[in-house]
Amino acid sequence: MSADPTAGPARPARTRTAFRVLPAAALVLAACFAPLTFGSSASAGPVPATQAEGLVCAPGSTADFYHPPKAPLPTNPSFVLTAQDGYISTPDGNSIYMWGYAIGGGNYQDPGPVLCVNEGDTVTVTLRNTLPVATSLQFPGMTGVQANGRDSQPDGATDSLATPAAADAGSAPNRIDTGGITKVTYTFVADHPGTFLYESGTDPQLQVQMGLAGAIVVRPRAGNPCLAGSVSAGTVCTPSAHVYDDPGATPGMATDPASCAKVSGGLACFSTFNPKNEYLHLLSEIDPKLHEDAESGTYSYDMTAYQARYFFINGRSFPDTVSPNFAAHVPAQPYGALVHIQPRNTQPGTDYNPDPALVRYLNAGPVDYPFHPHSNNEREVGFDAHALINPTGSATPTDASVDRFSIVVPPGGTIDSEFAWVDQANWDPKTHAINSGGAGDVIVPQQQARTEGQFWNGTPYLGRKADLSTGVTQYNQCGEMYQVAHSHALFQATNYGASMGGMLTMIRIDPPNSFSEHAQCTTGN
Amino acid sequence: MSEMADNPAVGVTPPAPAAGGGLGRSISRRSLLTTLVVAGGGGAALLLGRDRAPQASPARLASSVAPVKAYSLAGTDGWVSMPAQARAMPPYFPDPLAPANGNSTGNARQDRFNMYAFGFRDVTRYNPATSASVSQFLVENVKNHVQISAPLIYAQAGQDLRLTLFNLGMGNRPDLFDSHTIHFHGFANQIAYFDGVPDASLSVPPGQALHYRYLPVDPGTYMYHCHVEDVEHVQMGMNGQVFIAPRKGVNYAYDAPGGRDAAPTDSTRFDRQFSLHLSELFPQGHFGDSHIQDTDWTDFTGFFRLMNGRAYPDTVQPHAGDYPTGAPGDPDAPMTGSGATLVDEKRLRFQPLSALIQGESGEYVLVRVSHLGYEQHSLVLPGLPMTVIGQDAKFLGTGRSGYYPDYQYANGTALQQQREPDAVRGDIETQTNRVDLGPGESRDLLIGPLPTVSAMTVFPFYDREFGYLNGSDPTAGYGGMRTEVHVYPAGGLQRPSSSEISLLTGGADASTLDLAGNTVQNFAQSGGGWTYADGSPIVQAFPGKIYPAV
Repeated sequence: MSADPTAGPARPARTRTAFRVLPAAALVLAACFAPLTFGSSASAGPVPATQAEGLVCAPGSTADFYHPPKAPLPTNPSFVLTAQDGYISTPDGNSIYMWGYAIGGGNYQDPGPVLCVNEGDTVTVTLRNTLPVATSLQFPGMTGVQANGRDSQPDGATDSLATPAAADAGSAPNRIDTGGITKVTYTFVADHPGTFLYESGTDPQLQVQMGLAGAIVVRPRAGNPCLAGSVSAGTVCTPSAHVYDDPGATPGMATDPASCAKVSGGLACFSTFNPKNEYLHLLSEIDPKLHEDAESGTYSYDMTAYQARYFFINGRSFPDTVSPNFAAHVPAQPYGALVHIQPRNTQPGTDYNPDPALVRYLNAGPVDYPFHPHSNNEREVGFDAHALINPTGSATPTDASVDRFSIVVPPGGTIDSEFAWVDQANWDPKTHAINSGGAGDVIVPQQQARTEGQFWNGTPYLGRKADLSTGVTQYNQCGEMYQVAHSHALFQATNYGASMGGMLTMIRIDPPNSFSEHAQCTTGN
Repeated sequence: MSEMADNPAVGVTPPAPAAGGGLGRSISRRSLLTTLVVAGGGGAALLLGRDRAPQASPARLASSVAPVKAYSLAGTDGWVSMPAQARAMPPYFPDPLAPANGNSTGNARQDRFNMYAFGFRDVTRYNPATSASVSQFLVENVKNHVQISAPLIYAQAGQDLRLTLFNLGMGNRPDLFDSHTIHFHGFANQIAYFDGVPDASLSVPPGQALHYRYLPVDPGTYMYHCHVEDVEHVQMGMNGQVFIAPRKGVNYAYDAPGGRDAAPTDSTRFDRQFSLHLSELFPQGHFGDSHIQDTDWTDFTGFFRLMNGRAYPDTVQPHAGDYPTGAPGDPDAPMTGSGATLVDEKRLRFQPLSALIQGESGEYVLVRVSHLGYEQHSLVLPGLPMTVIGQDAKFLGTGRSGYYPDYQYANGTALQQQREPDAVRGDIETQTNRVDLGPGESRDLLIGPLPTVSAMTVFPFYDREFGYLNGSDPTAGYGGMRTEVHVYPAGGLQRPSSSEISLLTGGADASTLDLAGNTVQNFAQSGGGWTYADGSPIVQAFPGKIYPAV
């Protein structure tokens, strides 16, 4: 852990966003980021803004694909989470008072930083409280959590489910006290892989709603070269590209499906994924009235009057969800939710792309979110940080993964879900046109007889592009396809009731590499 | 398979697929194309698709044209009825703008519609693509005469499903110029153009038409809805069920291993099938749309809870009459009842789909449940065993396939097997008397064998949230998600008529293509009568069809 939380003043984050950037501009921003390749970067450091897409691990993580440590692999990651306040903005122009976690002395952000660690790590999380109320951290799914060296325990006086940090003595947000009572150090062993929520354990109906939640990713030993046996110093400890300890998985296992013993039923590649396509979907909602009360210093709320109006993925509402990570127009909401893939192809060659994308879903809200990804069913491989293998202890475990077109994420639950899009129909203007095979009436309407979507490439085909009508802005870049993914409790896919907003993002499917239009595509990561 | 010799594409003997090969291994994709054809008796051919472990056998590439299943749908608005005895919710329900429904009982609750809706109508019978006068007919007779739930649509894997969507505009809201789309919810590996999301493709403005085409591969229960202004259009009624029958046969739910003699929970064979499409109705939103008021959709509460667009007790009323194809539930079919029955027929004309389920002792009944409301529901069926055999259009039982499709269309319409087929996965079927599902989910419930009864026996099937059910108590909820399963003694229901059978066996459900491109007949003639291809008797001619007692 390199960041020193006491170094430098905490920066207030009361920045009201004064302008809105349209998705078009956001896509242009994405296009400006240079593609990043995985490599042996020196050591964990500040996350550069170049990771335009996908799950961003916090500085100090021991299992960050973009900043893998070198052997000897540190196994005692340490993070400082500073509870502080700030503002987020919503696409309808609203600005909402929030509480959240900054990493060390960093800026307020929503949601909290993503802590990426390896199975077996002893994790230290120091909570520093700058809020005017006591707060604490809960780590659901982790056992043996210690607070200041003792078992983390509920505290009745502060309505806490875990050992709390006292309110900031000055009752002034964003000031670090020196007395130490506003600090608690939690430690736990990340003893099994998966996706975990962390959240406030104090007055949780209020504090979690205010934004005090984040994600922990525990990556398995299986597949990490530095956890499989002794390696020479300086070896790059690339994190495992499996979600779980797949039986028989080995470090650097080829991602070719032919090597995964799938035909014989082996589970060595049960949960492999493409590390360049790992995504976080932390789902939440807020009632802005509660936040207005908190902003004016009232830290209690009649929860029977609770009515959610805004709905988020990673703290953003659509269309902000499809803007890149660290988009400038949402400075306190650093994590995008655009899923960006290419068609699955298992044939070695230019278009070879056998591995699925991985979406880690977390629900920090109070109700089920029935999340519906268009494009293809997703394969749920894990639930609440346990692999869907049945029975796990058996000599002949079977694959109990489930393919869903509705990923129902329960409150406090986490689901690890893999998916790929296969160009199954292979519609192509030359070899398989949509009006071929006697379907003469399946034609694309003339411009005056259709209403055009701005993300549309103007044709039915992947990797083709045609102009939209004069006056219609076209965000499409290279003939890619967009598929939405959203809560199907459709009032949750709105911004305060306005359709096509809220808990909604897009899955962007780029044409295969061999298509000429592919050269125009932003490759993301 | 002598016709193989005519096809040069299979002139070579394919190498046997082997697990564990390396990256550079040269292996013909076609070598892995497995036809999975099992010759059956009496000319029946059982086709097993992706839910069966592949077996090495000679390949034959596509040669036939996929049979077309075509529907024309019209998007518009109109008026429907919540139950006549449902408690009033002034001013939203009954809607004071609602027109008369043709009854003259003197009771306004029987004589007028009471809820404004948007939705789809099946106008295939009017063949609107070919005639300007028909277009005029649609504007005069279908516009402002919408139905909820949307018409039941189905096709078979291997067929070519085409939907034409006409936007007739809103009769009650000429100020609205909303476009519409069809989103085939759950269709695997869809392209954006046929996915119906207006932002990511295109939508159809009033007065225009848009054509959708699907080459269904994965059998199961899906749904469809308009994705324009979705929170409003879906809630207003533009939602319904669509299902895909397996290549194996239209009396099966999935391409699972096993035929007529296997356990139905393994083979997914059924005797009758019924569709329950769930939704809710938020009267404030419907009132707002009819009265030109804005609605904050985050206020949503599903006061009325619907099965196939009806609230109990209307759910157990019969379907409207048959379409010319023989399928039930055509709002324009002649009304045949009299007295109180005719009153209900007129009242429910634009909610033409019954939610009643029936069967005989010993039979297996498939219930396809889909849900496009916005809330969770827990449906309870005390007294009858059920097995959840499918979820989100995926088979859950023994031998279920891996995640990736076994094959895809390539270079035209030839099917290619993927290089490394997935291994089959474990059985995760569950036996229960209750099923819960949320927005956008589907389940396939196999109920059976139905118990031995000496007389027709009723088994209620209902949403466990009793507060929303209303029976005879008008002070309880507004109208609920409740229907019934009627079990008759063996032989206690009338059999399909010969005209129904000829509509079925001579209609669009008659055939499909197998994985190798061969035409497969879904029905067989035996002893002067028709059976399914596997020899099973046809006791229900069309999905959801209800028969009178003998």
